[in-house]
Amino acid sequence: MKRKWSLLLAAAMAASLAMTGCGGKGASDSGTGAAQENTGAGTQGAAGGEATQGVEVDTAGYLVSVLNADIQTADVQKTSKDYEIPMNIFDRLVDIEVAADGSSKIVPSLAELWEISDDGLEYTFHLRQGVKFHNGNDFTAEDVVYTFNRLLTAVGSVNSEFIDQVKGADEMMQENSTVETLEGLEVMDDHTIKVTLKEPYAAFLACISSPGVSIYDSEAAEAAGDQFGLDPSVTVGTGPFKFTSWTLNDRLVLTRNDDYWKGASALPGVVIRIVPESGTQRMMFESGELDIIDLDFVVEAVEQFQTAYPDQIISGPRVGTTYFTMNENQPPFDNVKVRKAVQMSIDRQAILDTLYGGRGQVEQGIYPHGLIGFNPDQKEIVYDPEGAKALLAEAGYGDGFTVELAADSSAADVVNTALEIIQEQLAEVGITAEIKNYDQATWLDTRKAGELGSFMSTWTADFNDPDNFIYTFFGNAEKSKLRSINYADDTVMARVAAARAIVDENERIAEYRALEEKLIYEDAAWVPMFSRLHPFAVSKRVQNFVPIWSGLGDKLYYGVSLAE
Amino acid sequence: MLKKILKRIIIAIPVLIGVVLIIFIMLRIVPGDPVTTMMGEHVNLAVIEKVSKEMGLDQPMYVQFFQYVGNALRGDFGTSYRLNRNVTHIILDAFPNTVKLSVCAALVAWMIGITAGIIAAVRQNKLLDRLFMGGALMGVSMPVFMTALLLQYMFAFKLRWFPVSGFDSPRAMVLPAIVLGWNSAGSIARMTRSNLVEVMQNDFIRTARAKGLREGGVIVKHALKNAMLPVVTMMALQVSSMLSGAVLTESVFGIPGIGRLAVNAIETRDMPLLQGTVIFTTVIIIAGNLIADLLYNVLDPRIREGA
Repeated sequence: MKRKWSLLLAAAMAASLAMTGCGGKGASDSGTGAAQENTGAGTQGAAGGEATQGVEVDTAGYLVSVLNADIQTADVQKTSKDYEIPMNIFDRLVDIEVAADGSSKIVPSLAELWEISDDGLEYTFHLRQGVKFHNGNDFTAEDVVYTFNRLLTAVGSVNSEFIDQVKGADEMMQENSTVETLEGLEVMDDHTIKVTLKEPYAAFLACISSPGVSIYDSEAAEAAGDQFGLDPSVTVGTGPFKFTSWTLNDRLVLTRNDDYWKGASALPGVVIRIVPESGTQRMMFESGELDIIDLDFVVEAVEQFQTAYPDQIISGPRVGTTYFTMNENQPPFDNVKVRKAVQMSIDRQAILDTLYGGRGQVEQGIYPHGLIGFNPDQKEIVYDPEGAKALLAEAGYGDGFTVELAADSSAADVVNTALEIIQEQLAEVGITAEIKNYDQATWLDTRKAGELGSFMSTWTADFNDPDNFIYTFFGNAEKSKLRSINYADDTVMARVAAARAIVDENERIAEYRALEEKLIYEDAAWVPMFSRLHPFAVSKRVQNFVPIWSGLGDKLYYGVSLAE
Repeated sequence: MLKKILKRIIIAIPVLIGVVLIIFIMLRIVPGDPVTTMMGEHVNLAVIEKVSKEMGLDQPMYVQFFQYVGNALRGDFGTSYRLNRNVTHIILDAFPNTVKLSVCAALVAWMIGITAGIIAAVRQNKLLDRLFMGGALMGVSMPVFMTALLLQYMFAFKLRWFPVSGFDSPRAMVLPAIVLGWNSAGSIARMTRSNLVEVMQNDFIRTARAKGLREGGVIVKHALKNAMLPVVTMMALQVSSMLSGAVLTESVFGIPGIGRLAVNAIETRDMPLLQGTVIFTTVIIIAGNLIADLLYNVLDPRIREGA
């Protein structure tokens, strides 16, 4: 009996030793030299100490922030959502700044000045001198060339559309292309670069202000290979913070770049925790464990936050349109009268008031408030259920019809509640709406196939230009299908594509506004809902936090400081 | 006994291959793919096609399957689509957290469960018995998610006795351990109590008392050993189920363990990561069952000596 017990015990101990041994080996294989030093301490320290890549630092005095899911990578060329780390560790050639009156303009960043040729085809950028990457390398025009080439051709790159207007980009992106460098880029000297487009594209400057076009150090990115963006110690930029460490599914740490060209940040660093549960995030904030929380994740509780922390709520405008779709491939939505009737049946102000406490503005078209091209004199879509019923009768649907509302179960609860309100409002004009639940991957896949029923979603600006909105949804038949809108008028969509090349700004904006009226007011291609404010709550010690101009959730930490 | 263990291990291999095949087919049949899911609002057909090709997703199903199995047999479980890291590393990085959580929860479950069960059996039908069995019933019936949120709200948020999330300090481990352990403690308590009550009615107990042993000695030295047999095997099974990942507890308390990994993998259609976690947990459960069986053999002399 005793022998059997000791045998079993020995086996159990051996098994647990083997498991911890494996864990240690795994960490030292994946980490760098610095991480190996930490595996010893890691077993007792933070959860998954062995899983930390990068360098462990003392985070006292750091701001504590939170994300609700771990990022995929910090290599912004390979992700279309995880912009927060890149916005803080990289710079772009130009940036967007919003003035107090809400108007926005392009401001210099890594490019100090630029000239645009009269035909709108050539942009000559004079790059800032004396800027260094976090590893000490100098920033030069070669880095811009490298960044653009990589953005178009790297394995896993998803943001090439921001620079696909550059001459030679299409050729370079062809499968089996042997083109080694972008034809439209010409290095004049170490700090001057000329970019030639394939045709005029007024939104080009706005495009290169997007996070996706963050400038990389050619030497570091090339040497790091596929570890760039995954291993903090090789992921360098010119930005106000350095990417210090990453513990998978637990936290990311950014540390101040003391040599930042705009001046060192007042914050010594930021710890970004990963906490998927919004309830847990809330409790962490209320118990003082969190300095900043994105209230988009706890929309139901915004009023409570406003009452409890009246001086600690910071809101930014969201340059984004929340819209409700009608799939023209699914009758009776192929009938414009039916679509107009639906536009008139939805009380958008009521939804905004009920679900978001009125924090936003009703929108009438495609371009939201704050976007260049926004038309303050748009024709209004009036909430008129009686008129809707009449229009439906005219179209032959006096007895109503059935329609599917597609709910994405991973979307915020408020979005799905909005669908329920819309369901009620549609019922009042005789339309029976059935809400069908999908898991996120299925919802996205069905939408991509052009077969999804009506849904509500939001498109927030990648860059400040009407092209980013109208071309995305109505640029051509394929784009319209990918969003399950299936707009049928090809002539209109051809005009949307052609508008990109208009050189005269006034003419361009006039054309964009005319197209907006045609698409939304006349053809009722979708129901514009509203643009919402984006509220954040900060702890008492946080000063000068300003939400990003587009109202996206990515938080910029440069300029923020902590009061003692 | 060795033959038995070997036989079990050999049978495990087709089980694993079968599990991999089923997951493979399920993830392929279900709509949605990792790239479209990754792109979200920025859906762009050309980019999706390009990246899918780069990831080898455009190849026929059977090619991908055999490639996966071939690599897996050599110990290479691939790279996670979403996290871009070696799957084995990701799982081995997350597993220690689940182990920590499970060990704490198991200790809570065993200490509280067995003690409560014994006291309840000894004080049968009295107040303590009712109280403990009530607590056990709650543990078994309340959904883990509810227990987690309730305890977090009361003790971490309102009373501030424990941190709301995280797993760094011993204090941070208390609430998650209780949440996860309560359910197991409940089952253990109930089974201990009913087995002990039954055993205590046997003749040899009367003999032990007649010999002059104190009641405590009777219980511990004679009754318990007999009563604990089925409880011990249940404990082994519970531990292996805890180790497979306590998704709800991990989510509420922000613990980066393998349960959360598996759920994320499903949502993002991350095939390699999901396969990796499923294989891993299947192995744990097979091992857990094996250990439970062996324990039974070892502890019960009747089986051991073939009587």
